[in-house]
Amino acid sequence: MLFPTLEFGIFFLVVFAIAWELKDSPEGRKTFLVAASYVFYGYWDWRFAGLLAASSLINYAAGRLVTIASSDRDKRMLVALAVAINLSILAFFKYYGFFLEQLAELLAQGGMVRDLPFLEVILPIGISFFTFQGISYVVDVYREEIPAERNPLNVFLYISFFPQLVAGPIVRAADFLPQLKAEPRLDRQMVAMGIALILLGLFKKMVIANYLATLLVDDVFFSPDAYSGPDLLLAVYGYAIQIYCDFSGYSDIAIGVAALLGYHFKANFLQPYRSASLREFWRRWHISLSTWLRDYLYKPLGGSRHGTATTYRNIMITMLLGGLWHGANWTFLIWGAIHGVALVVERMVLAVVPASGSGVVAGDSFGGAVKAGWGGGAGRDAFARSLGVLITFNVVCLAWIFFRSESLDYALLYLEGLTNWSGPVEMATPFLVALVAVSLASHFLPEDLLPNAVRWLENRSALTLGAVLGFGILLIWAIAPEGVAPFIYFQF
Amino acid sequence: MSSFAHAFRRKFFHERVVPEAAASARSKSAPPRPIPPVGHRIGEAEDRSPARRIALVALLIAAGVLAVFNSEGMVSTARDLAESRVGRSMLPVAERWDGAMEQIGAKRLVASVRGLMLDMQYARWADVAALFGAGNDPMAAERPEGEALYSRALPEEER
Repeated sequence: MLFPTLEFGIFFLVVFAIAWELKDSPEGRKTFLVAASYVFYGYWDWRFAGLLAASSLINYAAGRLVTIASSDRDKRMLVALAVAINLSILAFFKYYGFFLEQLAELLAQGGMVRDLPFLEVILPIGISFFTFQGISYVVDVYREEIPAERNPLNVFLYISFFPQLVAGPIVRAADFLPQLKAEPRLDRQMVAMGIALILLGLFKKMVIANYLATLLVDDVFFSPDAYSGPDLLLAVYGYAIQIYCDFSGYSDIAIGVAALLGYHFKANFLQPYRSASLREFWRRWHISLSTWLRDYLYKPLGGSRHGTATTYRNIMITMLLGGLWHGANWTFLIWGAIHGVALVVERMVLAVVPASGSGVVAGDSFGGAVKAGWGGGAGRDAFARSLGVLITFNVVCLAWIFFRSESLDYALLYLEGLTNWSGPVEMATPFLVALVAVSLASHFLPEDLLPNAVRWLENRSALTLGAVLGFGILLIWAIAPEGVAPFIYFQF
Repeated sequence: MSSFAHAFRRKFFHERVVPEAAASARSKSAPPRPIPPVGHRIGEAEDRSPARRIALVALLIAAGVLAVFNSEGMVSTARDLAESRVGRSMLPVAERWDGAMEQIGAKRLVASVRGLMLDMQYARWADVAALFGAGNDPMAAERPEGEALYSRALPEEER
């Protein structure tokens, strides 16, 4: 069931009404929301609902066992086992075919042709997201950040809650489970925020992402050798916007839908293309994944605590695995490698160039908490920041070429085509150029624009809110291209 | 909707809440529970929060707006579901509703916005230049005065 469909609209209307009717019966409300989430998930394929239930049960049991275990050694063993089971499930569905293909190729190169047990494995939708949430729960219990849940319903709802089930954001157990124990509340601010985010998410996905996909990106990436350099450049910028609008649009709708049901999710994107460094980019892009990787992979590897070389190694491992998380393909691995190398190089440069104090990078991200910036004195801050934005955006776009391409060959063809500026420019219509330019420019709008819109909506009557939502969706529907394309991150 | 939810809650949950509450009240260590006002069931004191009502009414109004102005969406959904018995029975109803909305002119709003979007989508740089007075408008020359490219009928086959 896709968000921008009538089916989901009816589904959500029913869930909203019943969930709030059950407000005074917490167990009933949770049971109902779990059931609704399974209906939502089963709408794609009922067979995988069993997998979702099994994953929830394994993590619930692991949490209980970790609490019961007496020695730290036993607790560690249990956590390791739970993480291994979670990752094995993920590996089987996501990487089995890929690794077997690589093995077969390797054996063939060595002159050993073998019949390998290839299987037609269908990837269950959202598996990467709910697996990471399950791991987050067990590890947080082990770290004593949250108590192990006695009530399995809480774990089942945490892992299967439908707004974030299939494409995130990856909600932390420590953020969500306490909300299940508090009385569900819905105030005017949450209603306004829900409506504003749903409209914003629908606009990003249905209008911007879908136009860019259908009129520009899909065609150009399908046969990059048929287009000239300017078209290829426009298409990769277009893809940068498309994937942002597609994914952040989904996150916005998920956060908005959760808000209307009385739950708070953290922001997943914060105008990422305004970043002036890679480290800043990763604090603004897919925040739930980058913080997950930081807390459950980068820091356990040692983070930046054991010297420069170890820090660089940890950054590279984190980014490569982050790439591999997206899918079993060399293109994703190279995408991760580009980000890893860029983060390392950036860190090296910033170690030499004195920090400007311009706030370009501040805070804890991959590579540790180092306040730093491109460039030197205060007078050059604006120029340094602009240069940083330009470099960062183009490095990110370079990585997107690999991320979007069908294979390495296609990506290399694309890069080759970018150097050829002699052919005709076919795709740069005023509509597409304006779409890309305006969407990019929107990253530099004031960050409090949405909170201000929410504040304005907060004090409106039900009639006004209904009209804003109804006519807003109608307008989006009218200006969007026909058809509903699936969200890009569903495949991950 | 509301009566169904009430009945559902009464049947499956409310009867459980009351005995649990009573058992908790019997416990010596339990804090004293406030006595609910006469006529209110336990846990129903704040049942009619304005925000919830506002949100529900807003969602229903939005659904109404879409049903009137985007009735073709209902038809296409019913067609998608036509394999099921429910879908088959929905389709004639959705089509009748869509026909009625067309008759009263409710569909014109979406059609004119789509026409505008198509104008923008197919505009060339020469059209943009003409718009800003930097040349003749080649599109305007090919159509009657005052009429946009696709404002009267949607050329679905071109989309």
